[in-house]
Amino acid sequence: MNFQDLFEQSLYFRHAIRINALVSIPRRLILGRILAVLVIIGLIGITASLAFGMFDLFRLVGFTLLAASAWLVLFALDAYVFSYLFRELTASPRVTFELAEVVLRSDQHDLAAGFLVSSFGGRVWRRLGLLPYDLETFYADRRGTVSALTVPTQRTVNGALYAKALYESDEDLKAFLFTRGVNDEVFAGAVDWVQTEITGWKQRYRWWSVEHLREIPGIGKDWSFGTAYHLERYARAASSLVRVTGLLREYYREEVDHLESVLSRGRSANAVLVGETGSGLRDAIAVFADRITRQIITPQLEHYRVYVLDTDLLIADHSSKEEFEETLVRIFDGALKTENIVIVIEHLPAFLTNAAQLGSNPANLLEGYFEDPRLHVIATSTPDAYYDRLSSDPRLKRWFDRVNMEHDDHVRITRLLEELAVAREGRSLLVTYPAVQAVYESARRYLTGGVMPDVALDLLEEVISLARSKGQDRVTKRFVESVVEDKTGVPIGEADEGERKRLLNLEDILHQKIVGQDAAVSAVSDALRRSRSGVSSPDRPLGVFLFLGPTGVGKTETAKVLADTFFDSRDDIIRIDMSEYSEGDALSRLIGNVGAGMTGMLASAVNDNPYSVLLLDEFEKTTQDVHDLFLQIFDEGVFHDAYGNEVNCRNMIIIATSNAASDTIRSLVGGGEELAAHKHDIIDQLISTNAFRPELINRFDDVVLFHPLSKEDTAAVAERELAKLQIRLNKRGVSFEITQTLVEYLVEHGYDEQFGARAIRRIITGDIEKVISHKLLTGEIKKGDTAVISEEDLASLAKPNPARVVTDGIATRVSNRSPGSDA
Amino acid sequence: MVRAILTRMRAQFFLVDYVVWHYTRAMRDGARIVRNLVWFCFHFFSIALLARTLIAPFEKLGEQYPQGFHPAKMLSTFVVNILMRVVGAIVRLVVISIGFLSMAAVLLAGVAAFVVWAIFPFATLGAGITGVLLIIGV
Repeated sequence: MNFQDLFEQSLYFRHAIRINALVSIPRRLILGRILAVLVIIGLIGITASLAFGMFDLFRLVGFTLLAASAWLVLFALDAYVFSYLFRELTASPRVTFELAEVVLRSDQHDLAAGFLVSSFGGRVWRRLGLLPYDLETFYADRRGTVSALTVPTQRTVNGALYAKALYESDEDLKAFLFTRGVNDEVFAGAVDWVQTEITGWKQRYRWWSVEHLREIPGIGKDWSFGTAYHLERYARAASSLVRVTGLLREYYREEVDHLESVLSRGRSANAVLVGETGSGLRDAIAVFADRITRQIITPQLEHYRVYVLDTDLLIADHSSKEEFEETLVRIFDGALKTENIVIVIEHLPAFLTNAAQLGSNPANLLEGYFEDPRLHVIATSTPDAYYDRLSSDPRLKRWFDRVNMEHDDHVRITRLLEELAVAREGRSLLVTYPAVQAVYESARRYLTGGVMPDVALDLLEEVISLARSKGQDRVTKRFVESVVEDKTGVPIGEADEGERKRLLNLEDILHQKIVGQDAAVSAVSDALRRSRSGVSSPDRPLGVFLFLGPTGVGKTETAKVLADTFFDSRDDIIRIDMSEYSEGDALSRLIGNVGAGMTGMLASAVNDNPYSVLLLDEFEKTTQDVHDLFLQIFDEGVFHDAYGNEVNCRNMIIIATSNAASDTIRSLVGGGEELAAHKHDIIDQLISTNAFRPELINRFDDVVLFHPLSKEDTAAVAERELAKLQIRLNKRGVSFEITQTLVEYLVEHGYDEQFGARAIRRIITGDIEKVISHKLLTGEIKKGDTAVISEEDLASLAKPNPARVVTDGIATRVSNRSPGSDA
Repeated sequence: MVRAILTRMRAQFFLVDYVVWHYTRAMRDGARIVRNLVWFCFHFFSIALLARTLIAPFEKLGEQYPQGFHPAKMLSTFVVNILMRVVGAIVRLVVISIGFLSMAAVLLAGVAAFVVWAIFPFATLGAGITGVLLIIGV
């Protein structure tokens, strides 16, 4: 269909559109009320005139007749406009009312302009998050206009179809929108949303339609069925638990179709709805009940009533097995006799477990009821509980057909979010389509510990109430991202100018805290930039690295600096010494053990701090099955704990450290070789010595080699550590002079090729600070003085080299070892 | 030919389009609304269902027949159950009657609305002109 065809078809709506443009629906409503009030005043006046002869009767009658006539004209015009407005719901016009408005307002030489000034186009513009100012920019920047377009032929062409065709034909519009972050998908999404809103409003307005009238429940529907007194004491009607809306009906259509087909069978027509908590199990059941109310259900289930059993109350109300079983049988017996009841048992596995604590087995007790064709049962369960408790019992499997809840469907969830946004925004707030998308994406990617669609719906509620409390009139994509950033600490969305500069100069920033290790610094910088620019995969951790190198050369420090730079806190680091997980029970200590009632260390640490750096020290020392667990984590970014709960590691940077090839690295560096040139040899050595399997090595984004610190590097570390002491002393009013002698002393006594520069900090805290504190106490140094560590002081310090091996906080003094000696 | 001219005139002149709409589509839409409301009465008062289950016991109330041969008890149960069915039938008949009455009322109101709608333009015009004349005192 081309524009000319559309124009001719739109002429049909011409007068109705004009009236609507002249006096809009809300204004007609107000005008109608004013005229009605005038008629009433006139009638009161006529009555008063007849009774008391107060006014000029003829004039009063004339005034009333005139007001009534105007009111009737308005009524007729209203009916006329609505008849055209709702035409697509009762007939099949070639175009819809709102499209006709777009077309008739369009100048054929510039179709985009017509679209953008129409009410449909304006709504799309606003939903895209664009402002009137953007429209001016668009007009100012455009080079050419589009005067012809073809819309795919359909029974009725609506605004959405037209808008998409226009978008495809108008390159200028497309390019302009692209600069505002609107691509094909976003444009189509916003257009569909506006179309759904308009169609939904029309359907809701027509209260006289059969679809609306059938929602009013009739009387006497269950007079031929009995009353289930016992059930009603312990249950509530499913329809009273959830307000079922049109979109909810659409959202759960597939699940409810499946439910309906299972329940309309003969014997054992029961279903178990399997889905995570929060995936809308109760909503789906309410939609099923709603279908019965609206009589759009298979004849076998007509007149049925759906009751949700309050299993907690049922268990709590009974202290003995006998009493509990007696009530349970009464409930099911009564329900069976009424012949029109569907009983819902929420969390069936939990109910069976709780009943077992009373010594009862409801499955045995209710066998006859589950098999009776007159009674239907819908149970619900989480997938894990289903596997644990239900699928292992062949009888339960036979009685209950499984119906799965689909919980992460982009289109369906977006629709739900749109509906919630419309319901919450009111007149003073507008939620843009990119914001809705950001809510979906953030909920899926960054918010752990919940199930779709609940996580996304909760986030949208939170975002809207925050926007309202801040007095904003729009919820934009950026606003959603900032809320998620505050919640998680993870920077998302587009980087601002300052952050962009920071990312581009990341190497310099990291080098302020890390001495040397250029390769490592550039590898992690690249990973951060990839993650921040959104190029990295959302279904993997933010970065996975293997840091190889001798002890004390800055591997852990690099991880800490990374946590500080990316997550804004050095505390956002989970450190696990993998050498402690080298026994057979390693895996169960990490992911938990159901039998022992133990939660896993890794699972709880990640759940407590899902946005952090996970540091796996001495990774090669753990067991094969732990390596397998991490193989999955590196690959998919998630794992399941022993209880079957999904643990999300996608918002983490994972760093495994190892000193497996330290000797090789040391000898290569000692021989003056360039480490990077021997990277493959070192990796081959790791594989040949069985430290790591090749598939595990392949899962790392990068294997980063840390070279042993040179004397210059060590001196730099010493200076940095002394500077920290200087700051601490300054705070106490004492200056501190960092002398070359002191630095040299630290380099000489604090560095060891085997253990790196680790001992430097300990010499400072153990020896240097001891000397200074002694001087402070004896009054040798007072406030305002400058503390200097003299050569005599250094000579008086303990002679043995205090380099120590540190393992998980336990310091072990190592015997005299001069720098350069090897273990 | 005539149809084409009429279509063109309707697109051109509001008054022509309005009059044609008033006496064709508006009346068809009105008839559809009346039909929906009549259907609603039928549905709301569950006429089909209640007629089908006219003599079923009300809410399945009744007594179980005793086991063994106890003529007196059996008779009393029989009487109680028959009574329940009679009560059920009476209640249902009342509701069915109300349902039919409402359907008739809606239909009548619909017919009246049609008549009013048919004279609506004239009545409105008449009221307006009369009003103006009375105000200016002619």
